[in-house]
Amino acid sequence: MSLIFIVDDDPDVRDLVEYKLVQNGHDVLCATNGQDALQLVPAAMPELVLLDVMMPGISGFDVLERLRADACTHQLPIIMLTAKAQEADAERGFTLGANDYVLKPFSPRELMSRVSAQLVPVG
Amino acid sequence: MPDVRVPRRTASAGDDQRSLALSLVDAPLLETALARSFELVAGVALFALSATAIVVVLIPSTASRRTGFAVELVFLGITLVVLALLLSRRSARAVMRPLEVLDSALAAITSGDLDVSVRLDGAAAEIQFVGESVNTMVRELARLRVVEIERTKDQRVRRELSEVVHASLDLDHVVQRAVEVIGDALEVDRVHIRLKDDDRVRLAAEWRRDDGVTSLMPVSPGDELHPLIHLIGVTDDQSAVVVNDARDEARFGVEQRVAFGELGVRAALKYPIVVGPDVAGVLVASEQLRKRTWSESEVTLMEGFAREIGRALDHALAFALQKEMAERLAVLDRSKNDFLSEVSRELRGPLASVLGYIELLTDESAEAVTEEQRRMLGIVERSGEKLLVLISNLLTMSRMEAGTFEPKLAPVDVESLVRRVGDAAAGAVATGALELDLNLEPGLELVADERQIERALHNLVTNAVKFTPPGGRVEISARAEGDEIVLAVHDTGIGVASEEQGELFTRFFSSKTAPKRETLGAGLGLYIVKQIVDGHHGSVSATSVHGRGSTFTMRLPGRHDERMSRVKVAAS
Repeated sequence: MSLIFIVDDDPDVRDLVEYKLVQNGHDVLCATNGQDALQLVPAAMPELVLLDVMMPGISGFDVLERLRADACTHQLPIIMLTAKAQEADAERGFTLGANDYVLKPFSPRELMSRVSAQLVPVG
Repeated sequence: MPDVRVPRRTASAGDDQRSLALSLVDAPLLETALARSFELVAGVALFALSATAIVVVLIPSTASRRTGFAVELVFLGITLVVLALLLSRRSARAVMRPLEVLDSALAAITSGDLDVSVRLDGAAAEIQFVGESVNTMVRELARLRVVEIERTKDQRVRRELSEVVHASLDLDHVVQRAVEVIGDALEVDRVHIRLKDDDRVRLAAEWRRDDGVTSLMPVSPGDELHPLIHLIGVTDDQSAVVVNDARDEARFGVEQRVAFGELGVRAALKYPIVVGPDVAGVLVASEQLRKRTWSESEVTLMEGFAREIGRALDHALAFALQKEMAERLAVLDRSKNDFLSEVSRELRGPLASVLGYIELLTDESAEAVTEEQRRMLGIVERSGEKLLVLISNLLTMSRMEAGTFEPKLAPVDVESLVRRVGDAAAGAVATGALELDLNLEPGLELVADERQIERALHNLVTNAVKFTPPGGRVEISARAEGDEIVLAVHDTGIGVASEEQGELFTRFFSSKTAPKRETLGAGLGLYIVKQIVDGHHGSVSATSVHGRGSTFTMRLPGRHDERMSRVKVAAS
């Protein structure tokens, strides 16, 4: 039972992920852009954020950078969810402090196991 | 438009030489002198002999008479000797000394001294004649030498300018160097070049010699024409304009003379710069204070300069055009690659929904979905996955062409790589009712870009599965052969027609003999395999029997570092 925050501008993807998360017993909050996410995430303090990269306005990378700069959300597990398939993009995500990087299209089943892996830190 | 006749350069080589002092008026002819001397001696001798004979015949000889006779003979002999001496002195004066003078003059000429003139006062007329011929010859030689020196200088200057023109395609640089070379060559005060304003060329340059100092003053493009160029004419007239002395040009009106005076220009020489059929600019050399009689060879030299600059302009224009086109193509290519990356990203979003929801449906709605619907969802899912492969290939290709596809080398465990590819293909293998065998030598290691090699092998396996009918067999094998790791994919599929085998690895290749249209992709799979293998300095080949099956073989350098460094050495 965890609170998961989804940030994605594509409602279909949001619904898909939300459906799967709820099915797995999680609570879900959503934002449709980076601006909202920056306001809502520190307020809601979720246990994990699923963050899309390509969004109008503030990009997912920018959101990631600012959340990492904020003391409250510094340690917050964040999984990037993106259609940017190039290795350089994944590298950038990890450099900026993402915990994981999932490429679209993804298997919802696999996404759930990635989420679980972040929620129960190994060791 | 002034029209001035170009004066022919006159032979002036001998003008400053010591003038000749040959006077033929009272010079005795050598022949006459000798003849006269001979006559004289002969006469005296005849007279003496006759006298002796008379004395001997008429007078009976006595001792005293004989003595007198002997005395006479001795006297005669002395007379003859004195005459001979006189004669030889005379001939020495008329012949020998002039010859010596001529000899030393010729020696001086041979050693290159053309400043010689022969003076033969009092010499025999013939010799004086020879002397005059020698002087004429020396004058002619000196004139020819001056012409030759000038010609050599012209050639050197032209060569120098030609080198300047060909050394660079940068027109700015060429024109600036050219005015310098021309200014030095013609020894003038000013050189101007003005090229006609054009979309690509807006250029002017000026060179001036001030107190012996050479300075370059590039004129900003778009500036007004230099008044001198304006004055001397920027017309489409393709001939030279020569002004020897602006103050004294009969064809100039008062207005023009005043204008030249105000500019401080006394003499000028203009030649048009021609490119193709058009006048593309002007070249003007001018003198500030001195009047100057421009020689024909200087005008010719100026013409050569103008032609070289025209050539430089032509080259530069062609080069600029080519560069512009290449840049436009590069921009086009970049935008194509950007477009491909963008499209592949944009397509991934919707595909995430398609494939994600299909998974939800097939996973969790088992009761709600009928068997028929499940089959249909299977088709949608496979199509979605095909689309995804196509998108990845497009993206990979755009990255290859953008040159951002350098392999990142690291040690790769071959066995686990092959197993991953096999696992990924398992679904399709099952769907196609095929058998998949792995035939691996244990402990193989590659130094390669793991993701790229995996993708290459994946593409080969995907092809094998796609083109093998149900009940067939696909085998992935890995073995070491010498320094190489050999990865092969063998199938019992439809094979490739022999006439198509040569095109297999080209972009957008698509078999025309393959049976079902739906199994065909965009023709990028094998092209990408080839690009990846090439990037690793390996090789890929195919053997196939139409209708019986194919084997695709990748050979990759096992000890990669050595091979890479060898390739680098060979390339350098």
